[in-house]
Amino acid sequence: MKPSIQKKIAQFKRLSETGKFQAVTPSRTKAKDSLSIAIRSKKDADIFIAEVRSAHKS
Amino acid sequence: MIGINLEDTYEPVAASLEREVAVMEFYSPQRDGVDELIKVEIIPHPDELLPSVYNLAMGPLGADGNIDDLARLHHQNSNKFFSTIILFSIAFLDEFPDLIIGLDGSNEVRAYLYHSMILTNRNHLADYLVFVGVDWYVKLLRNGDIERMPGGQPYFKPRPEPFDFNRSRGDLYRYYLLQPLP
Repeated sequence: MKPSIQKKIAQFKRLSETGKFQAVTPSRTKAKDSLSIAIRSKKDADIFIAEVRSAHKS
Repeated sequence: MIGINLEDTYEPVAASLEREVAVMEFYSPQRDGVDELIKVEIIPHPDELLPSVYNLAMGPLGADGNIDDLARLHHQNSNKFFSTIILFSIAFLDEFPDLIIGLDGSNEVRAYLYHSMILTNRNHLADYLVFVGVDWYVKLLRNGDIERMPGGQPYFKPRPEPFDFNRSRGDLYRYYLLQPLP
């Protein structure tokens, strides 16, 4: 990672420690998104995440 | 076409990188001269079966104080707007490398935006993110029908794959995932 980008990321982390969003709760409703259509059980979810991690490594 | 340049981003005015919810605010100048306050949130996927998947929401604050992600904005610099959001996503995944950001492609316009942005900025983002595309598929049964739910609807299953950069903008995925580099 470029040092300039690392510096920008460090700025987020610094703001996070001192900023106004401590103990914040999400402002938006947790609406279902389309991935839920294809995930119906823990088994579905476990298989899906394993496949995603596998794609991650390929 | 959105060009991502992580060196050219808006200054955050506030940020929080927590596992429960990550939030960031910045001002994006609009074509009418107004600086619009934009809030970005990365929150857990609503499905409790997917605790490692998070959703990204962005937009101005509505009258109710919540993000209005349907608001129509006219940014002076859309490249800088999206670069800022991508940078925050990278910061989140840098802090929590076991997590995944999911982008819902069920809306055609948004899916096209995500797909195009990934295709166009492949080289620039390859140092930071791994992209996964997800299609739905249905099993073809030996009797010629497809696998169905008890109510008769198709029994969709997700099929994730490494983002196929040879796939055209006309062949969108149903869902997009962003992960940090291994």
